Amino acid sequence: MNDKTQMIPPDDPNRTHIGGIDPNATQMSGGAFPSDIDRTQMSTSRQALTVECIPENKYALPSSNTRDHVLVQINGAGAAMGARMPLNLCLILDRSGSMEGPPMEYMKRACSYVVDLLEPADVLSIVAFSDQAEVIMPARRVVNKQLIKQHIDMLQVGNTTDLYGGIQLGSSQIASVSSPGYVNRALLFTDGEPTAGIKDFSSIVGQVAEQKSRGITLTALGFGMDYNEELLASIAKRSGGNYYYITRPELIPEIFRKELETLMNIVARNVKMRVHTSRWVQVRQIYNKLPAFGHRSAEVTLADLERGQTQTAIIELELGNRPGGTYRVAKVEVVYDDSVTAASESVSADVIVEFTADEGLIAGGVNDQVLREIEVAEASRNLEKTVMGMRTQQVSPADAIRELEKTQMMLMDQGKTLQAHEIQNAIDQIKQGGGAEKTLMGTIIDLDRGKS
Amino acid sequence: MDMDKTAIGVIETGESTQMITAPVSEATQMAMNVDCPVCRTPNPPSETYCIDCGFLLASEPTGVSVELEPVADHGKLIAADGSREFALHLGDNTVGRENADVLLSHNTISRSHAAVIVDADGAWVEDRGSTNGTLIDGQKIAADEKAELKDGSEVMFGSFVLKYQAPATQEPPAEFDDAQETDQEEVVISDSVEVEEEIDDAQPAVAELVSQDGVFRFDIHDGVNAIGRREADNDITIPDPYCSGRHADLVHSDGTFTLTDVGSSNGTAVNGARVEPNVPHIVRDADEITIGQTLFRLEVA
Repeated sequence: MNDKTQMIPPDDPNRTHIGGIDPNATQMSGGAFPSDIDRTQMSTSRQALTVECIPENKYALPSSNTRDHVLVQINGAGAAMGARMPLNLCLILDRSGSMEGPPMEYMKRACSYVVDLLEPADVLSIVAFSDQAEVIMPARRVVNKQLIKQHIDMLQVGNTTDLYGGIQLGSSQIASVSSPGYVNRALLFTDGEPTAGIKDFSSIVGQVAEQKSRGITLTALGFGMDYNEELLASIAKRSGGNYYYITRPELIPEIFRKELETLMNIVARNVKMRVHTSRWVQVRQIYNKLPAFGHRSAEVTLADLERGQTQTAIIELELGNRPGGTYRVAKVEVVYDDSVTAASESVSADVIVEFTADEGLIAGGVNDQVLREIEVAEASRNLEKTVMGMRTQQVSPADAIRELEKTQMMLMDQGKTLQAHEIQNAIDQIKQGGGAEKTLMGTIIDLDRGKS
Repeated sequence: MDMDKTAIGVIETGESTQMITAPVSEATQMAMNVDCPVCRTPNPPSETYCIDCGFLLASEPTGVSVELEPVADHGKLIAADGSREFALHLGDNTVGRENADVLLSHNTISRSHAAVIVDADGAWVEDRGSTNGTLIDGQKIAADEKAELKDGSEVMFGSFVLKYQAPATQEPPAEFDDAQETDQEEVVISDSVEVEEEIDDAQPAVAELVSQDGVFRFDIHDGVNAIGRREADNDITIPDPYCSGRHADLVHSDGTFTLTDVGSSNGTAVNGARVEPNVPHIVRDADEITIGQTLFRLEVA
């Protein structure tokens, strides 16, 4: 028997205790909480996700109310998992007047590139928006690639930007494919502010949220200097999709390729994290997330996970006083749709804290990794403040650079080289007299997701 | 321990240890529930941790003498759907999106949104320049207003509605209760409230216990002054989570003050030196007394 996954007493099939891949993670330890006997039975060694919980301090004083952080690490399985799930993709393209020239040419090239990367099992639709939105190509399997490219070639520049209409029409194309078993995604590409149709921020983000509830995720691709990074970042955040800032037209095909690769590597969709707390425990906050609170629970939506990718979340708990001893103070459950089998799955891990009056144990029980991750999570708030300050001109470029360098150094120390590099780009942009908000917005989203 | 369990397997998984139990014969011993030794909740035998309080069922609690009573009640704010509860403390309870006592992660809440100010007389709300404002029972609080909270008042911060629940019992009038200590006096003061008040008036404070930050000034009367976190059992209630329900007694008799730690969890110190529990310790004017994590100075009248 595989020693990583068994531990099922032979006389009792209901008593499955351990599931998952990593023997070091505290997965699926016993007990229904609220009721996971069914779920433990479902879990196999081929789970697309694994979850691990690490308390900031595994010891706490029993006699007082204390706060403790918990680092949750959710990992997308790294090994190849056989065939990927087909995509149901819609390209929602801005063909407003400002796209005239190289941007339009590169955008067409990027779309043809996407067609080349797709396989006959995938479904593609194309919507373009200008004064209004229109379907360039209705959803169809990617069988005749030449024909699809002819549709793309017919794209022409128009005038204004009906972003809302584009999102609505693109989503309806994705929804028109009624059979389950697809990874649904819309790629929204735009270079400007909404100027036609419904233009206000909250209506657009509201529309995105509605589509998300129907299982459609939007990735926002902003091109050039004139798009609204606040709007596109909000779309990506609300939707759980990605955000890209494309500085130059010749980079458009590369970014489309990168996003497609990401989509093809998604192992878990519709990911939700639920924190179930025991008696005398409350969730105070989940860093950089807006949890929905229920009876002894808090829930947040997470972004789709890619193969080999890790997302982290930091939970702050309030622990009430109690008799000494070892307690499961919380159980973290991650529910998701497996992208290979399309089945709804769940993994969970316990947060175990020992309440002891031994102050030596408490002092020595601090986990440095958790402290570092808290610092990284807080960096995102600092970046947000810097962006806000620059936008309102309350922070001078010199002060902004100083703040960014501090954050950059910290991220470097914590091994977040990608984000540190992005901040360097932002610093360079400020030094050249430009705005860095579009770049920093991407860094903030990454840090909020705890992506690494 | 689990008498109905026979086979116990322990699996070491890195730092965590998981217990697996199995009955000898499923036919005879399946359905025995296990009562949690901490919260008494019956648990199905398949559970490793109590389904209610999370206690590791295969173990025994330690330090059961620790008080389970919550910190002194100074009122609460409770979410409209009951999903969240914020216990208030004396002084300023900040409300906001970051680093606040009442932490509300929502985009209609400002970083520093408002404050609930609690003292012995009640609770008040102040808006601290929030973007979306603060309302009490539908009435918007003005910029420089300090609006009083009544039991059951609905406070709205941004789009969050929280109901205020006043403390269960009002702060008892300043009194001392040495009934437990000397039998003769018990007869006298347990007779009626009026008598207590008379004594109160008749016996002025002989000293004051002043916290280092100046927030608390407690009168010390002749006789026993019981100190602790639990309002009902003490003359002096200290809202410090490190203070035990019953923490210490400060006794004044014939011009001498003695301090006795009555078995607190986190100890009592005089001038930085921890005192032995249950041993009276003489204290004098200007001595520094540490109760839990709060530092006081004794100021003799």
